[in-house]
Amino acid sequence: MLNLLGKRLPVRRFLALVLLVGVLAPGARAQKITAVANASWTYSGYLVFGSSGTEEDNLNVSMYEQVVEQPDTNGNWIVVSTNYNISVTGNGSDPFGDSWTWVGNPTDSINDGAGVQLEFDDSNPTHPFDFGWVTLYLFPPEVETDPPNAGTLFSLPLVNFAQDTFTVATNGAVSVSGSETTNAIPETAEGLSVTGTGTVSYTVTYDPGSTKLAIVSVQTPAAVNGNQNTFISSDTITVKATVGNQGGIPVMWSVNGLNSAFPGVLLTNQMVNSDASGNSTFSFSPAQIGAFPQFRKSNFTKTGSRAPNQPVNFEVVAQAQGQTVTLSQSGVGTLQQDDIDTLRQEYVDYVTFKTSGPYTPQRSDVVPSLAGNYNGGNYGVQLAVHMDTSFAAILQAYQSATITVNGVTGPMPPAAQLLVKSGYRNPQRNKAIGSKFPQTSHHMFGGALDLKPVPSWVRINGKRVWVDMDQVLFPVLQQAAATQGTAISEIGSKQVDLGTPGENHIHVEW
Amino acid sequence: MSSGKQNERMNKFFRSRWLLFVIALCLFAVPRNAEAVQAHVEVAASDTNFTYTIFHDEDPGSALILSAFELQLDAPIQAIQSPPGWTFQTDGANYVSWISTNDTPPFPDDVLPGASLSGFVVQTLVATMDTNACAIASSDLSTTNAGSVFTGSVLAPSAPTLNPGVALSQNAGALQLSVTGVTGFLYITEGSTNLVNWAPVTTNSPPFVITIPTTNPAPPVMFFQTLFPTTRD
Repeated sequence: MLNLLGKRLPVRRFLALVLLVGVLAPGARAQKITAVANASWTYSGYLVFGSSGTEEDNLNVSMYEQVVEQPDTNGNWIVVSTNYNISVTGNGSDPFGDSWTWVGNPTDSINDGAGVQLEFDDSNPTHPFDFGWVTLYLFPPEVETDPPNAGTLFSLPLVNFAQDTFTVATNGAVSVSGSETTNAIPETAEGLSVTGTGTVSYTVTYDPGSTKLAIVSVQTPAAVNGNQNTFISSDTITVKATVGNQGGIPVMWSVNGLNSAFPGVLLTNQMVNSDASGNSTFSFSPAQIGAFPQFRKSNFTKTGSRAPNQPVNFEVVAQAQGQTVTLSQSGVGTLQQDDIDTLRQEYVDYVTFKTSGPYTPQRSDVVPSLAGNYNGGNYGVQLAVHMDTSFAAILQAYQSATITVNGVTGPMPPAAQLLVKSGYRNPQRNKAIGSKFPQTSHHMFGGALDLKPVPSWVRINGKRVWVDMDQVLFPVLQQAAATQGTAISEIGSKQVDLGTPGENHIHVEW
Repeated sequence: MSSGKQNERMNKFFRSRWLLFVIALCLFAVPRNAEAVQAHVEVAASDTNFTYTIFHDEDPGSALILSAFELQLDAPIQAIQSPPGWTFQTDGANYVSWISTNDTPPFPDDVLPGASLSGFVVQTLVATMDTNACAIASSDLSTTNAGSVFTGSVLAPSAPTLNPGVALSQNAGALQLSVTGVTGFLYITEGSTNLVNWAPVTTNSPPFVITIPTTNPAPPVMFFQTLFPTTRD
């Protein structure tokens, strides 16, 4: 019902709605598909002004609606646009003899909730009631009230689609079309008589020339923390993208460093065509790309460091047919070194080697820090080749030795102790403290200890006599250390004869 | 007292003494240093001075007293102070060993349980520090022998990077090597004509400049390297 300036204007349910939603069949691959549904209705009727029931003829209403849908990244259909158009034509005279004409051809969206606004023109009012511009609102049936709410006549229900299921072929240009007829509600009531038939037609088009580009996997030798793919630069990193089910589609790959560990572009415009399944698989090994080892050598091997390196962190970008996707946006994982591989990367940077040849530790070679002073590196992890057990054996041999002090021979004090001056050192730390062997030091491999005796004393004639460090304790330590490997006396890295004043540790390696 | 009872008593006595002897052997068999003396070190760094204090954390009834303090470091230093009755040994770069010099029990200059001793001071031109190893050795008054040792770590002077830097330049027709590094450390520059046999050219504390020596006739190729003499392997 409509109440226009005190005049009752009954309006009945006016409309039936549309439409269709396409739903992909289970298992079908999401493609770039557009479903377009069009619906139109025409109505005719009459208006009644006031309670006298005055009828005004020549009122025609037509409605047109178009809904466009596309599948989202999960394959669910979503409405991407809705166009709604109503045109009303008609003319007559109101109860006061004034003529009126529907004007306008308003267009509105059914989704904005604002309803559809129509207007008519009381073009020549001569009566005391000057209609001027009059607004007509349309109510949906379920909210129609009598008397109606002034100022709101009609709002379309937001969802009233017919549900249709489509099976979309995936191997070519396919269009699905159909139609359905919806009987408009043939209501005749006071005021507006609604008659006629609404027709819905729809088409589903499939455009094989367009692809949905997505990165679907990333793979390195190890993954931690769920989807953090960790690596060292000598590893092969593989990233896969899909372009739908189209083979031969060129995908351009790029790789960028994300922080100071390696800033800037590592690779760009690496083309890999999609295979028959629509997958483009891109592999790279940073160490094989000149810019990477050069940058690392220049920035991470020259002076060393007493702080841990930043992890290498890459962004991968894929581009195909105007679309761009990134690894970070894909949700399939990141490419970032963890602590273990950040440490292992140092060995690649320094090109460390053992007697047997180039050596880079395996992930399984890296262990949590041993208790005590064994880890003199920059990380909470280290390499350790029976470092603690070797020390225990050396200490036992040391404490079991016989010594001669001031001409008196006796056992080493059982409480005599050794200090681990230096155990494991990562390559950067090793360089920072001035190692002469930045590529080969056994300290980097967890197979060396620098040991120093702690001052100790013996009782001779009731007196405390401190045992000479250079002449007694260092030689005993050297012999004890030799039970576990090659043991030499050193001043810094310079080998000196046992007992040389200034010797500051026994270096033992195995 | 019958001889039977006497024998029985003697047997009991010897059995008990034997038991005590076995217990005593067990005590000796367990190294006294299996458990380190309870102690710790604190450091106060001010400008170029690092002042260390050792704390004896054993209960007052402990027979252990603190007799030596070993400090590891990685920077050119001078030990400029020792507590009264203590002396030190150092190589000026890698360690300082302080010991209590009194040689007669009860070693009055040692640190008693519950007490602390400060006055271990090193001075360095290096403004940076890092955690390094340390140890505190004790003496056992009950046996007047060396006691157990605490080992741990403490902040100590540490040169950030010791590697030398070398730049080649020309001055009035003569080639010069400018050597940079950590002032206070001695760097050795060596020369070679074949990269196999190296001979010292100079040893100095950086920064310093070497005018490359010439011979007549000049060697076809001359190589130079600058080493830090206390670098580690």
